[in-house]
Amino acid sequence: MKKVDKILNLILPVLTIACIFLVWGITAKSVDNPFILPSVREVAISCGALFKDKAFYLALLKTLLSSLIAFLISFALAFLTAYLTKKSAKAEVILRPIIAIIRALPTVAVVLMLYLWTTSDIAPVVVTMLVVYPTLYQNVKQALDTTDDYTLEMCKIFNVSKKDVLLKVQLPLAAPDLLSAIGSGLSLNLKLMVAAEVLSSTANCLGFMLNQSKIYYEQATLIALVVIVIAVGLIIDGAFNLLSKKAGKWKC
Amino acid sequence: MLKIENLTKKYGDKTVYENFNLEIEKDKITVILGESGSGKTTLLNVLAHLIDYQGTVSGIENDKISFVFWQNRLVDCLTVIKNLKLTNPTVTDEEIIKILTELGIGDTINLYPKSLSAGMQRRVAIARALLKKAPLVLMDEPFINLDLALKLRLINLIKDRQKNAPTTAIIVTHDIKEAVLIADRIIVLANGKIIYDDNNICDKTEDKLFDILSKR
Amino acid sequence: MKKLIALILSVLSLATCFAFSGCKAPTPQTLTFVAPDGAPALAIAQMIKENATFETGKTVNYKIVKPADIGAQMMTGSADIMIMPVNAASKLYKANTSDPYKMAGVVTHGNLYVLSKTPLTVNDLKDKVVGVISQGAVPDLTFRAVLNKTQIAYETSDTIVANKVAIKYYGDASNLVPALRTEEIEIGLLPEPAASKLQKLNTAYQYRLDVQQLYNGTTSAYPQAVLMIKSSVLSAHPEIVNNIVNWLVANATWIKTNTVDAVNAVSSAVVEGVTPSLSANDITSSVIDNCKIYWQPAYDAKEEVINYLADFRALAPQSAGAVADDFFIL
Repeated sequence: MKKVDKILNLILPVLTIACIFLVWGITAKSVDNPFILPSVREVAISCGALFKDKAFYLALLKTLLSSLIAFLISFALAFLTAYLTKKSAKAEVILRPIIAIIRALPTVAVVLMLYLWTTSDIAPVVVTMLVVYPTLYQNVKQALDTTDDYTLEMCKIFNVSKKDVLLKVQLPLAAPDLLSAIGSGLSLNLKLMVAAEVLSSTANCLGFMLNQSKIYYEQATLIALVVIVIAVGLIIDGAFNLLSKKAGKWKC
Repeated sequence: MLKIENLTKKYGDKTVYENFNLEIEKDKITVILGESGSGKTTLLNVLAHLIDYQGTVSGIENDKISFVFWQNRLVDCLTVIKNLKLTNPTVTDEEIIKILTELGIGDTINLYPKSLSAGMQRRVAIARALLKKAPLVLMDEPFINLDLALKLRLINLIKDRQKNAPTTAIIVTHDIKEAVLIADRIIVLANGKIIYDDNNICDKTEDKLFDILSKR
Repeated sequence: MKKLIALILSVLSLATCFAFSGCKAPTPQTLTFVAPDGAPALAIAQMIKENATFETGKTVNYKIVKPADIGAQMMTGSADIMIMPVNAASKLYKANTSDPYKMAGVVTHGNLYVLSKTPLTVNDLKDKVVGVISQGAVPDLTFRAVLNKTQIAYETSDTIVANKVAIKYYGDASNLVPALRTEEIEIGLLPEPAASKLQKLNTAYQYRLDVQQLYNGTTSAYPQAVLMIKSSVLSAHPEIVNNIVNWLVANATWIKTNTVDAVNAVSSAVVEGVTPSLSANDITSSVIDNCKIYWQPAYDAKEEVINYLADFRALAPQSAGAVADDFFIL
């Protein structure tokens, strides 16, 4: 890549974000009502206040932990079912309608139902797990397909153990796509978790803080929380993209 | 003796083999020639139990086969040395470096397959097969993508190894010259039948083979 | 192709013009009076029924909105006159700095009650789990202010906490009432008319604690919902406060003997898309008594308002604003 292109690739996204802030600032100034649209400065001050608040870190930790738990369960399920369906066509036929139903579930309705059947802590975890599972299943399946039948045949002829086929061939081949899928999945999980927490009135989490900001008309804090969630999501996505690139260095 | 008895193999409506029989002497290099679609690769796949068939194949221990496939089938995410260790876990680094050096690719051990040329990848595939030291070695167009000098070098390498540690090798090729240089026995297949079988390879064999194959 | 694009753009422009021409721009001859659904809406039921205009010579457009949407009415300046929770009013009254709102007085004085099957005092709440709705909102903050006043420790918990009141939160009354019915929880804090609805569904539940009385033993009240009026409306109609007050005072008596008409009037003014929360079956004169709907002018309520907001801020600094004299019509 030319040096100019490399520099542009760094500068252009920064410029885009700067433009977004500029439009925001101009709009806030013309609206002139911090309860409708707080200014960039007001939101920045709120961010600063959040970063000094112990309760914010506890809430962030709880939401991240819940997201991680939901993701791990979802991922384990996706991996197991994708592996099974790769091995058995019958398993695929059995699973297909179940996955279609899960994919079609209306998220909000599921949250409300789960809130009645479980607790406000469990409901967001379950619904997030359900919503992310079909996408993860598809991604894992595609990732496992990166090992073609010819390679598996070669492993069979050369008596490569099943363990080595999985750990040294299939997983490393799938790693770049898998890591990218994990990053997207975790990022999506976080967004869904926050929404589900709001709907379930879960306590002491980011969803709770968003809800509180809303009922107290603290628009600047609300937007600050949203900005933080976006930033965390981008960091997760970016980190896993980097890992994916590293795992896929053999592709070049 | 390796025996194939009453082999029948069909792909849909197309019959490749029908009640085909063949005996192959152990510890010899048998080359199978024939035009495209004559069933050469099918025969290797039957011997390796990679496809279903009717009939019997005896004299082979299924876990003691080595194969140079038509496609290289290297694992893209593993370096050359890791590819070779995957299929030959007990082999030492020194043995690997030795054989790669003999094949002229000693400096590729830490490279990934996608960094190698087609010819280099081929040689890694051959190294993988030779390192296994299996009693039966199957090779499907092993010298494809190799220049003449390299081809000759490899043929001599295989023949030297055969002298020191004989193994049963069955090689499929289109190339008459390759066949004549390396084979102890040459079989020509056409329409699932043996139309030429010679285990006295001499100066005149090449002309005979050219004659047979040019009339197809 | 160019002609087709030009034609499409022309049609779209015309359609847009028609759409905007169909919009009703607010006319200077209309005043908008907004109240949240529930007890505060009952405070203006008679006005709605009889289309009161307060001698302004203008049409008054009455709108009953979801409680969650009441703040937006003040933020955007859509309402000229409104009834809203005092803590929300304290934060938003100067949202539009060029035309702030002012508090004329208090309209409702609390409607929260603790119900249980067994008799109990406020001290008996220790070592028990109490279901409370709307964490962080007025019911929760008022209840915790009461616990603070009575020096009873509390903690958020789904299970009993020794020597403390364990507070288990529910989204709203529609979540807490079923939990009480199924005895998932045995003590609940509910607003009217949800409290009387629970009692109807399960007569074992009785009113045990009057939160208003616990908050203020003398008045048995706190300034829950207040009447806010835009400064520009006050300037244009100096007599409007007196006129509205006359209606509010009359309404407080009227709704006790005209419960069905009151509920119907409120339901008729509910904005499109919102399901009315009040039902004629649930609203009796005793329920209305429990809603403590009566008028208290700003000059009289000022200290109570300031103290109530201070109690809220002590629990959650963002839940209320610290108001100055400019908040009140004195």
